[in-house]
Amino acid sequence: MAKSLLKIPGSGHFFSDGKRPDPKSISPKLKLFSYDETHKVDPITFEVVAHKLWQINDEQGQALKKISGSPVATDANDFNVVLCDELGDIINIGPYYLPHASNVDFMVKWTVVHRSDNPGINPDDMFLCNDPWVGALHPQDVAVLSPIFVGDELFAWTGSTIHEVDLGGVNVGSWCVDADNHFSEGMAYPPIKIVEAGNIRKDVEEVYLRRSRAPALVGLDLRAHIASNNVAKQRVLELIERYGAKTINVVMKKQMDYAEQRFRDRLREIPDGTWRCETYQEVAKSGDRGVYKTALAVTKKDDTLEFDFSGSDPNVGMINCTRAGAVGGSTVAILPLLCFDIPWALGGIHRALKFKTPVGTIINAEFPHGVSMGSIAGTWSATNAANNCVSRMLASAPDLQDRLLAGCVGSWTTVITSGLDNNKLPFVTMIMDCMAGGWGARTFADGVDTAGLMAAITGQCPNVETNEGFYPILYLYRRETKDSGGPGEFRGGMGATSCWIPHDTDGRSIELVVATFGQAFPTAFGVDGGYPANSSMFKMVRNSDVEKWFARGEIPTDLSSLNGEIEYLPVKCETLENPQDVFEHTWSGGGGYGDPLDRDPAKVLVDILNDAVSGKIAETVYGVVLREGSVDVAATEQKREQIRSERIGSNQVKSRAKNVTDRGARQISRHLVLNKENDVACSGCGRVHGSAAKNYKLSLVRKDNHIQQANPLLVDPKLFIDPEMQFRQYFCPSCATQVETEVILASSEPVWDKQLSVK
Amino acid sequence: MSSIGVDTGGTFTDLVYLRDDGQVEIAKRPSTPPNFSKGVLDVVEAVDKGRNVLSTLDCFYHGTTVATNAMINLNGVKIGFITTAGHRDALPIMRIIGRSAGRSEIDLKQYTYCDKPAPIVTKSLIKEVHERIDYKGRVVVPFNEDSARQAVKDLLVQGVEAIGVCFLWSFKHPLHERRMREIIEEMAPHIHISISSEIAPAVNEYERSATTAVNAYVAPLLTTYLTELTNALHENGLRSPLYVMQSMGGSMRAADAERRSVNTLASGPAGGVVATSFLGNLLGQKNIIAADVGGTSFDVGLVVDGKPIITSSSTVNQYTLLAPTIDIVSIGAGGGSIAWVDMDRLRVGPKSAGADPGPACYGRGGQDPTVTDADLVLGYIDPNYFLGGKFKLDRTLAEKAIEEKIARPLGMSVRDAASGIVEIVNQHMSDLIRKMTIERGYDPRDFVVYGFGGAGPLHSGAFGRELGVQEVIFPLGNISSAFSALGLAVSDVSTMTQQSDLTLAPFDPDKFTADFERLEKEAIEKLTAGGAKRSNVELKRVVELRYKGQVHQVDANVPAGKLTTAVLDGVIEEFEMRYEKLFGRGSGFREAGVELVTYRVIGSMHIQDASLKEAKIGSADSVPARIGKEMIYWREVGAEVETGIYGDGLKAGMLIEGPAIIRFDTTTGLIHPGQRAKIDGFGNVRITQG
Repeated sequence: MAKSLLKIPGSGHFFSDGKRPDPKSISPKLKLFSYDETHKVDPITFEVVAHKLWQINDEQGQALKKISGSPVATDANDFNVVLCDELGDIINIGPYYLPHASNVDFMVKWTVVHRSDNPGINPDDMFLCNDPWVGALHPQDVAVLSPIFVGDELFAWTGSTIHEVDLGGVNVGSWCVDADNHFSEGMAYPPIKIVEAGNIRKDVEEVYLRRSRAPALVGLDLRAHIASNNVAKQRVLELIERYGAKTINVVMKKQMDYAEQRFRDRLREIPDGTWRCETYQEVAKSGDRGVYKTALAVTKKDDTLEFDFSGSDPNVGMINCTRAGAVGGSTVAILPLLCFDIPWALGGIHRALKFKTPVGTIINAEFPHGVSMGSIAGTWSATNAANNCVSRMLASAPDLQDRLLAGCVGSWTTVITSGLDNNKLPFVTMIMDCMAGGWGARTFADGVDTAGLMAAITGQCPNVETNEGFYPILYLYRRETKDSGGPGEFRGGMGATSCWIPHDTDGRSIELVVATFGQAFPTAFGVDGGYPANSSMFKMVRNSDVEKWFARGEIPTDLSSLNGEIEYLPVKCETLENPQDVFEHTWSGGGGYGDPLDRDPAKVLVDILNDAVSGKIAETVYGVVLREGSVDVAATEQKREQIRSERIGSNQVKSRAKNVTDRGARQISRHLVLNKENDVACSGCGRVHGSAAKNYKLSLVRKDNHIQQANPLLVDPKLFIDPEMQFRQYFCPSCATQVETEVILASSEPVWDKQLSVK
Repeated sequence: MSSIGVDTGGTFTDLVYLRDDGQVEIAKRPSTPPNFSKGVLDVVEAVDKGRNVLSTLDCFYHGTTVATNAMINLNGVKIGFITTAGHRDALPIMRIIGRSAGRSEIDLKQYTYCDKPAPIVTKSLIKEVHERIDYKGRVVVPFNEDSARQAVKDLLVQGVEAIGVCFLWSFKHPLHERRMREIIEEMAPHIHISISSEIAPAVNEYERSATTAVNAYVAPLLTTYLTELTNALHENGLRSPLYVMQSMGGSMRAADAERRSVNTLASGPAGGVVATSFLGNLLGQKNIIAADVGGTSFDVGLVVDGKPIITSSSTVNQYTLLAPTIDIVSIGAGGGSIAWVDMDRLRVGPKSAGADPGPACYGRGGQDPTVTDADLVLGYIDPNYFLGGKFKLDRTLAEKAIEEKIARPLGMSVRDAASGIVEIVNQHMSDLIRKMTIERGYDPRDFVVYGFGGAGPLHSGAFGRELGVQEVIFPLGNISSAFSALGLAVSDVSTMTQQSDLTLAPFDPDKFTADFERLEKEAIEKLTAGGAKRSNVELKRVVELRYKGQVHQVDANVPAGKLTTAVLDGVIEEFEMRYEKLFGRGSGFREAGVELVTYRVIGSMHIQDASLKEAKIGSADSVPARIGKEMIYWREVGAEVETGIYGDGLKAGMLIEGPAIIRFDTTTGLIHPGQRAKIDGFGNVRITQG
């Protein structure tokens, strides 16, 4: 993909770094409400107002869901709402798709600087923005921002973001797998005044809707934006009228201060150090066969946390995100893993965070590189990386270990279908089945099967009957995918698989656009010796004999039982599903935690009975031997010993004592401790791996495997990519415990994933 | 007519005896888990006092948590489940909403502690049968008898006690499920069978499966319980049938519970809303907020146009069920909510001290200050007169807890801290009510509030004022603490029949009429199964519509009789109007067309004419009922004010100027400064802003 792009002079103007703007950069025409820190609010009023402010967000979200009614926005909760202070610092975000709120501050900050003079920001104006360089995840994610004034002073902002089903560009659904650059994608609008003095600007609305293949639906969502923003604005103004602007302002500001303080306190519970990972996306656009790295180092020092994406690959194809996407993607891990009991007043939390996002990379692309897959590519990959580093970091904090999550839903498997619906009317939709992704394992329990998305606190996948009622398809099956959850002492949650044929199409075909990453290799990582999950996959059997099955009273429940060859669709492509074609898509489960040989064999047996784990994986990965439907304890013990011996190439496997950590050492992961001499040692057998000042992995037994060893559902990566990926295992040379695993480019050095600061 | 309603709760079993002279008696006894029927018999004995009341009753109603408890404790029977080949996992996947359904935002943010519930049927007990119906109800793959018999055989080998069946699109074409039932009956004649096209014939296979599976899971337990209880009551002289409360607010004959066990789930809070609509009808009030304030939870339901709002689904232990349910929203706020200091902030809840150890003032070792402790410290509750004096509270312990945990850390007085705690919990309650009403398209200012439950009269005056409602009522005065049980004693027998049929408008009036007539016939059969006369049956037709492709479904009423194109046009008009009212102006997506989702018939049968005795209005002078005066701190005044204390001697017609405190036998009511209360002929305390 070495296609050089024209640099567009002046495009740097459209860039928000998310930092609080200097008031001097704002036009004097725009007066700002000033914060009176000395204004006293008693604790009771504070609590009452804080609760009401929280509820405003809730009401706003409900209002948005009501009007939009679109299944994408409302069933999948692919939207969010937010309340910000006068310069865009976030006071509260709704419990929906997180990055749709956690990057709205980027847009508000840009707007106050660049729109305060011309056309001016006035009461009852609203601005529409979907420009990724200003703050959207990708052009399909549209935000509408409303300033809230007290008198003639700008007091606060509210905003809402909705994913739109189509906003133009070369491919249906605006996931432009065939785009060379942004000019072939859905148009990015920097903040434009869509509502002026309370009235919608018809000309602006029509410019916006003209680009869409589903203008009526997009138009309805625009009304949802406006109405829900009005709800929030009106409620804030009511509170101001009742409690006074100064009081509301103080509560807003102190709410952020409070969140900041609690977040800093939380960080102090964690030892200082740096946690790193490399995660990948393959195929930058249709026809490409490359693999692209997102590198992240998270450094925790005292009460601050830095996310450094240096080392990530240069921007390429349409899989990039912008800085806003990288920051928004990171917050998907930061908020639930570190702020589970802290208000999500990001404006305060951000003060303890720092992001390094080198320009011109896949996590901070330069205009006009392609970004149409940004939300589920660059941003998702930033989430994977942040989840990876933060979870490994939590493993080192004894009181917070129970909050870590191995990799969750390694990627989104976009499936856009279009054609004529059951009433012979044209439709275009995104199939939301893959909302049912698996979550990563925990330190004390398996990951939740078909749990949802990490980025969406709430959400749902549609019923089969809903999809069949709307669209001309008939499902052969939809089921949780056996072996999709990464093995470990605790297993990752399962993802699922859907399979359908066209139905009732009168011989017409269905048009499909599919796009994902993490198909040639898994992207939901394992932690502390756990395996990664499965990968996503699109399969088609052309011209199948499914009708014959039906005629003889049977439903095929496996593609391989059909007459016809399985075609593995490329990672990103546009294709047709013809009447006898069977289409199947599989999405990611969650990664495992801990060494699978430490899993209770009884749990493995339950997994087999529940079709979560195959007999083959039970034996080869978990070392569990079954006889006549129950665990053969002796044979299992023997099998596990045999696997341990094979791991380190020796019969002299040291046994693991239970009290290594009692000798003044502190745990830094499931299988590693830092001892008093500042050496990293095995928590099981006590073997000293070496000084904490160097990568402990270098002194472990390393096994480089073909990538297909990472998960039994993987297919030959050569179908999709050229570079060689590896699945690596790291074992304690003494007790043979699986300490870590890696999915990595064969050419990469072992990642120094946990480096604790030592004096 | 006379009736008894017995409501079994987690802690107490409440009884309301509605005498044929219109007088109401109440009794309360501890619940007796796991053998709940003992508590029922105990409370009956308590009210009976040797009168042999049972033999004189026209109706005996019972609200039971047997099915709900089985779902919460996951101790229903071992069930098997049968579904369409390829779709075994619809139930375990739970459309993923099983992870979040019914959970608070606070819980949802705890990602590592946010699981789906444990399955009521494991995958190895879910079997697939080769058969397939499409969205139009056409057979794509015929019912495969061999695979059906194999499925049953596999389940029987594993020792299941009940079997649920749900095939895709079975509500459009129920023959496959019916054939499946015949096969099960043939192979296992005595096993309980639930089939989805009977239990919940509506679109959406996850919810339909869950409803069917849950019915199979709880039905054998509930049936056994009700059979035993019926026998025991009959032995004790009861001649009338036993009726069981459903979550939709009407009751059903105990004999019907096997097929409709799922309808008793979440019926606990329904009684209060039914009582609210009953009393509302007597008082001529049509729009009422039913606010039930208990020790650990605060439940809000709405009565609109004289009827409780009913939703077509409910959530029980994170399962979404297609069982018609009175729309009730709950938060964990009540007397037991714990107050705590969070840095320099005062917070109340969501943790609760529950019944054990309970508030600090219970003296059972509770260290944390609760709302009840604050109520006590402020002098609202009389420590010697809690629950009619049966239970003494320790004010010193309450003060100590507030002093140590709240007042000192925040640098405020104990009184200010206590008053702050009460203010915060009142505000949380008013915020919930606001959310509840606004989300359903209503304005709380158009409503009156009925505040009941143990702590309702303590808090409803404050949140009612905050909401700007027209009136706050402590319903039936002293009875307000057992108001929910009254709802049982006055309920109708009800049922709902439904049929999903996805069709795009314009609709065929003849088909519409025929479908409704079939559902009506079915409803009448259900209601009159015990031999009741059909003259008392009232039928309501409802159709659930949506804009095609949109997720919101809205009910529209359909007139009785033969339907015409013009009538159906009117139905669509009503739908569009209601849609805009609920979801806002401009929210209707007309371009997409209107789609029919489900026909419903709600049938209710009036089996008794309950009435309450109305006393003559007497003098407005309330001094005779005043038992004392105390200096009480009122936050809105910011000072201690001389406050009248009233006891049980309140009589119809009396007027009380706030501030005042009414100490009933079983609950305490506050009349705030600036409020005025009037006692009406039914004993209601009716409060307006002065």
